[in-house]
Amino acid sequence: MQIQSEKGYDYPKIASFYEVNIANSTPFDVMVGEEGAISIKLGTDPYEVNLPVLLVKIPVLKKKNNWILEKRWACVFFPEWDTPLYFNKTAREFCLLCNGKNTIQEILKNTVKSNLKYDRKTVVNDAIRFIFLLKKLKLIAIRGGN
Amino acid sequence: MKVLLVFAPYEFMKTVTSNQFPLGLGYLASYIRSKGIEVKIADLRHAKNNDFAKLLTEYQPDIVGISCMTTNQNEAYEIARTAKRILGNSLVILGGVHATFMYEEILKKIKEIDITVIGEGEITLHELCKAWEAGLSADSLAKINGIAYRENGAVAVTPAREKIQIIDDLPIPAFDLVALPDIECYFKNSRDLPVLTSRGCPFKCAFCSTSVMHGQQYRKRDPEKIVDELEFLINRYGAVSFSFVDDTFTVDKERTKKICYEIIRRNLNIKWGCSARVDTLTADMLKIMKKAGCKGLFFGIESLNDNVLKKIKKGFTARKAVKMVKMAMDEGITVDTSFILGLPGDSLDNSRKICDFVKKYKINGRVLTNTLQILPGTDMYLNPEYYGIKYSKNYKSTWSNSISFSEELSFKALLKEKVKIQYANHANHSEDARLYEIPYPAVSYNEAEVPEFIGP
Repeated sequence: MQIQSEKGYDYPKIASFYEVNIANSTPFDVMVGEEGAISIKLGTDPYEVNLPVLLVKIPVLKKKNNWILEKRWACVFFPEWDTPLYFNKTAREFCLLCNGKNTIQEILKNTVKSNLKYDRKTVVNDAIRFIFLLKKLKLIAIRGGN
Repeated sequence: MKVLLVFAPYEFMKTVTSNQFPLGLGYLASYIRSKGIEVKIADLRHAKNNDFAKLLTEYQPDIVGISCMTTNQNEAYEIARTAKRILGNSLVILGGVHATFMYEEILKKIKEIDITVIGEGEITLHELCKAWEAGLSADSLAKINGIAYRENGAVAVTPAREKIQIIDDLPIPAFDLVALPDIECYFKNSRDLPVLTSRGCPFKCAFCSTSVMHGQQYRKRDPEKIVDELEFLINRYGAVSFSFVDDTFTVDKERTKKICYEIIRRNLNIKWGCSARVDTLTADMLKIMKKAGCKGLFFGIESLNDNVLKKIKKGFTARKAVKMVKMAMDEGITVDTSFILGLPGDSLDNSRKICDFVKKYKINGRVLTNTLQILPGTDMYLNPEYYGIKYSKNYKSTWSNSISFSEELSFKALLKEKVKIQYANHANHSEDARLYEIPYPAVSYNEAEVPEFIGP
């Protein structure tokens, strides 16, 4: 894959050159497909989400010192300094909004606004799932709200 | 008697995806088989949880020989413990670069390892097998060159093992003796097999243990016999490509050309790659190599700063390196390069130079970067004061901060430079599938609850 799509809707992506494991959790199942392509299955989901409750929560980015912020991409070392995880531009901007000031509702609103040309339902769905990917990787803490 | 040779996995670099047959063990296996000894190879990089224990229980080897480098020593020790636990009285031997330089520490620390092999292992292993068959004794061990063992609570070392001068006399590595995994595992991505055409390296890079291990003796094989081996592997295993895994394949220019001419003359129609030094190639050589099927070259460049290159005794300049990389790429050859971050005299500016180099020249192969590790036996290990470094011998299973960097060159700062280089390299390869996307988890929610005001 390429981190950055050339054009069109670029959903928030996280990628790695390395196998990813979560400490104190079931490791990702890594499956090798044809031509050596590897897919990483994220253990046993799904997350059942009460959306009205989630929307008022405030996500806060963790591991601030571990981040590298470039113009078009970002990288964080996971879980500590072991494995670099690369973020595409959309994911990078999404993460920057997780600054402890914005609610998830505000972040979703911003994300939809940045992708006006694309299907709103898809954009919202990707954004919500991306929040849970960050949560699963323990890259954000979710605070506050009612 | 039965021997099992084990290749320890590399926990620290499992994603480097080296999928090649362990050639060193192949040489050991074929040599002792030619002397009438039953032997199998277990490559634990490809083993599942209980595979190794099952193999030990079923095969019941008398001798277990484990290959060990500094960076996978902990995995090798764990294998030794498992072997001793399951087999009880079998002999457990450790060989390879780490065993060669750290035999005393290993024998003092790891009680499950009975003997370490120092230097080249073929003849030594055979002599150990004979000694075992004759009922191993302190006297018989003392007569075997190139080993260390425990005797009366102390570590005894025998005289150095003489190096094999004519490598062509060794039988072709025993690919057929792999018990674990299935031989087809090595052909998963392509029918590529490793071939060794020389041993040793005449250069003296301060961070590298190869020339120390081989005493700077460059021992080369006969071009015709090398190409005979290629033909054998094509006919026997359907190999279509080869990796010449010598430390530096191109040391002897005339020999390199002869190998190429022989491949062309026999019309083998193969692809191959090799490791080379930028100062051992010429434009003419590149053309001949390309014509003979060379598709990939690996250059260990280490740094693009001449002062750093001089300090580590690399023996060429950054200008030379850049010129040769460009020349090889212009010839249509894929060029992999490697750099070491945090070398003596290094700076973050130097790392950025590497990043700029990757972008500017659109390097068409992989750019491998790692932070400096001080390996036993190297000049840096033996003379840290000269290089202005301090290091810890406490190697971890990952690329670790085993040396002290300056404040600017902290381990974390270097890692950040590393990922920038990695990203720049990846950006040159739009078709590259090596960057693996982490999928979203499944999330279920009521779509009707998405407020209308989330949107335009």
